[in-house]
Amino acid sequence: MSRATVCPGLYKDEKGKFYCRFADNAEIDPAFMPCLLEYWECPFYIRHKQAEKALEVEKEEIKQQEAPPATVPTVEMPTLVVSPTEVSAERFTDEVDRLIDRASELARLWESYESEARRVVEEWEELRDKIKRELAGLEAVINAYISEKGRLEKLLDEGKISEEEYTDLISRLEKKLAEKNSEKEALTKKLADLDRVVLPHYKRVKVAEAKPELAKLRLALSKLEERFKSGSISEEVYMRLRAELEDKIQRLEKIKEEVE
Amino acid sequence: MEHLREQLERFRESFLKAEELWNNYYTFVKTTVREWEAFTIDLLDRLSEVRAKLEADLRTTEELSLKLDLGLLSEEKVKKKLDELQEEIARLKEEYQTLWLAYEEITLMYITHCVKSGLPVSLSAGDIEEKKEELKSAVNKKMVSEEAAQQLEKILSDEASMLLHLHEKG
Repeated sequence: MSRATVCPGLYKDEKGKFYCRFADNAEIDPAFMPCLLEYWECPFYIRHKQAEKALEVEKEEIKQQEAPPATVPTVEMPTLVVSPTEVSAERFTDEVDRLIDRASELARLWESYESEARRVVEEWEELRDKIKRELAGLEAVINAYISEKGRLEKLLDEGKISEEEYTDLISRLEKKLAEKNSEKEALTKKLADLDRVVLPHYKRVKVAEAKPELAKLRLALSKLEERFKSGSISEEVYMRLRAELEDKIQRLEKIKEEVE
Repeated sequence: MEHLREQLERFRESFLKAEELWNNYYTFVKTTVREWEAFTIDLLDRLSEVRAKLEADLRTTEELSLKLDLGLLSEEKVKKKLDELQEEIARLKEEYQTLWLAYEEITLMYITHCVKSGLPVSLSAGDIEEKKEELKSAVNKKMVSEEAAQQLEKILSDEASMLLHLHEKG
């Protein structure tokens, strides 16, 4: 039997707000819940299904205990007469069909959005690494200029270069330093701009996998600790990777908290 | 007497010529030294940038293998990234050692001519020691080839000897 494309527990009020029948009618945002995708993996849906099954079993048991073994009477089927109630039922059926179509279209749009968003997030993560590497390069150049400035001051104090030479070299250095600082600032701003536009999509696509992803990251973190304790990796590598994992864990925890 | 006068005149002219040559040499060295010191700022810029990127790439290579072991990345993704990085590392390594070698070769010439002309040298024995430490670290991190490391080691030792000679001369 094929499943419906939308969770049967999802409904909307006249204000357009969404609610979940299976979560005590709590207000929800389907964009952050699996209502339009693999809703059968949703804990509220699973809980509801389990309760439904238990109820059915119970009813079956009662039925078996109470019902006398009787012969089934033959019932004559009534002639089909179209009553006003049936007209209304037909109208509802049409409404339901129309809504199912719309919901299916929504699911299709979501799927296409999700796959595009995943691609963007993946590219974003790669580009972020590249920008960070570029920033590390700029940082190294800025530090080299600063230490060169210190060296020139020392040379001037020791009388190894004239005041004129010092002024000339320092002004060149200052100019370069200002250029590199503004490059760094521009790149940092670009990165922040990029983060700002990508983060909402990151949240949407990561929310469904936040729990398993968090478990994976925590496991990796504990393995990393073991590696470091056994001395198979350097402290430098350990510290860097630990910071990276902790940062990711924190980001996913935040998403999870927002949803819950 | 006439013969002696001619000889004296010849010596006077020779010494005047030597004086002129020396002045030309001294001025030329002084100008070159000034230009070199200004140019080292640009060189320093590129060298620091290449070194930082190379270090970052080597670190990433080490981390990628670890991330694969920790189950954070797939084998396919790690392989793709490693291939990209290897190409980049080879290019940066080549640029880094070529620039560093050229820089040290000219620095040695700079010290030599400063010593000869009596111009002050803006480098100390401590600076050379720092460079030797940097070379050791670069060798450990495999940022330079063994051949380039040996050449650099030799130039740095020559630079140190020249500075020692200058120090002894007072």
